[in-house]
Amino acid sequence: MPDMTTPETVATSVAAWGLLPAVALVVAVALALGLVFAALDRVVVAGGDANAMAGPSRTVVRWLVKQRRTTLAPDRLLWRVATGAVPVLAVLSMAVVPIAGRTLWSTSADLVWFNAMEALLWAAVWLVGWGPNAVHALVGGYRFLAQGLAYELPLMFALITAGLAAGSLRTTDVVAAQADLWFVVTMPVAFVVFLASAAAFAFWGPFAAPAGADIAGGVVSELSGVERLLVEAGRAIFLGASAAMGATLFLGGGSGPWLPDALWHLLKTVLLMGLMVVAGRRVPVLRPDRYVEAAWVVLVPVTLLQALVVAVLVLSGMYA
Amino acid sequence: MASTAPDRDGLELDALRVSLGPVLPGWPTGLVLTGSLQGDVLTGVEVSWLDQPAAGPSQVPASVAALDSLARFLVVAGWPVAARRARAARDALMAADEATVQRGRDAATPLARMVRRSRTLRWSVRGIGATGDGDVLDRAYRWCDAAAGAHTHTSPNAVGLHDLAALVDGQELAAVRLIVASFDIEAAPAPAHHGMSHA
Repeated sequence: MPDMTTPETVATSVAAWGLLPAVALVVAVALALGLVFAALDRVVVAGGDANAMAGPSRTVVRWLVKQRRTTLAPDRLLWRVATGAVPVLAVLSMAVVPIAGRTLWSTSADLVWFNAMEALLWAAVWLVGWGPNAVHALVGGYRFLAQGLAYELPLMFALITAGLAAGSLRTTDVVAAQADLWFVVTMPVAFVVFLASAAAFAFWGPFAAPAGADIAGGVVSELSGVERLLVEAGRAIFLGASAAMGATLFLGGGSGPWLPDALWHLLKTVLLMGLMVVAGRRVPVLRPDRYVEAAWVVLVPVTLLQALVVAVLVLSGMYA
Repeated sequence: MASTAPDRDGLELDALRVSLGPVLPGWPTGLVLTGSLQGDVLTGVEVSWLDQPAAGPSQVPASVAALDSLARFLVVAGWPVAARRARAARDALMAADEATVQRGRDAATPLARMVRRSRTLRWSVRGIGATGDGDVLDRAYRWCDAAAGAHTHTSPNAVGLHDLAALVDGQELAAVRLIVASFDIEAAPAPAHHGMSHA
């Protein structure tokens, strides 16, 4: 359990273990979380068939050896840059999620960092749709722009609400502030909106319209081989990272009796991933013109209201 | 190459000649839809079969045909879990032994109920592709009834290519995909006046 350290003495994993081991750990954890999410997802889509668990690993191998195809007159540079950026941004968002109580780096604006990675993901996914010079990919890219625009604000408000209660935007401080009471108790709306917005940014589950079957795969329709792998891995890693961040911000991070902190955090993260997959796969994809409306008309007001409630609780000394 | 043309909102937008098909998820293989795409609105639509489709109506039970169509519709509507269940029920119904067929029937009924009850699906696709006898959702519900064993005629949502082309003209790409997936498209070109009213 990380204690209430002052900002000057926060021990990042780089400071504690050295740069290379710390980076390697974050990348390894990110990849593992992504693989676990993809496996859980596959099992639920296959109707609980445990054999489907190996599906993602098999798909990875297939994409690695598959020959790439391309389109007529693609914007090669932007397309390549964007497909590479998706997994990199997803891994970078893990940099501020505490692993064993330590984040890769710690600034006074960890939550803003997490949000910034998502904003950049916005540009990357749009370029993945733009690059191949193809109708379905372009329509998918446009859908993602609308989706990102609609879910950026609710997500930001959900993140800020946790920061507000902790009085700090540093994730380790947010964990420490939940020593007495997990934030999910006083901010359930922010918790649910955070997970939904994460799904929207990874265009997965009910928010999969940018890569929907109705546009033949949308932004990923013209990707093949390693590039397809990079983008799909990025989506899965981002969902896994969001579950880990959700456990950090709302479920007390690594706090819990008997077991070590890291194990508690992992348990909560996996539980959260399971919840996301089961809930997200119950419903069909929301049509783009409807979900954008839902985000503006429902999510923005309720997240603002949630922030207001938490602000009043802060003033009344609830989190002191 | 793209050239511009005025679109329905009075803007000058690129008009792209596109063809959808002959292989797209959830659409009958060999169906080609050509048109000009502005933004995501499709106009000047023509629908044709790439080749003469397999002759005559296929000799499968009405519930199997309905599950096939329903599974295709659910794929396009973006509900892979329900689509998988429809395909599993369909495969069981086509099995040789009676026990498996019964299991298929037992699986089809709750699936039809789940699709009919889904508020998200209703909210998401209601009002798209409305004709004289309902929208895409009504047609999906008709397949649900047929899949669950209600007595209907073989293809409750039959449509000719000509009527289909008129119906999807001026619709957005996502709506076009759904509308086409909500019909059992007739193999032969339909006579000009099929008796279906459309706007």
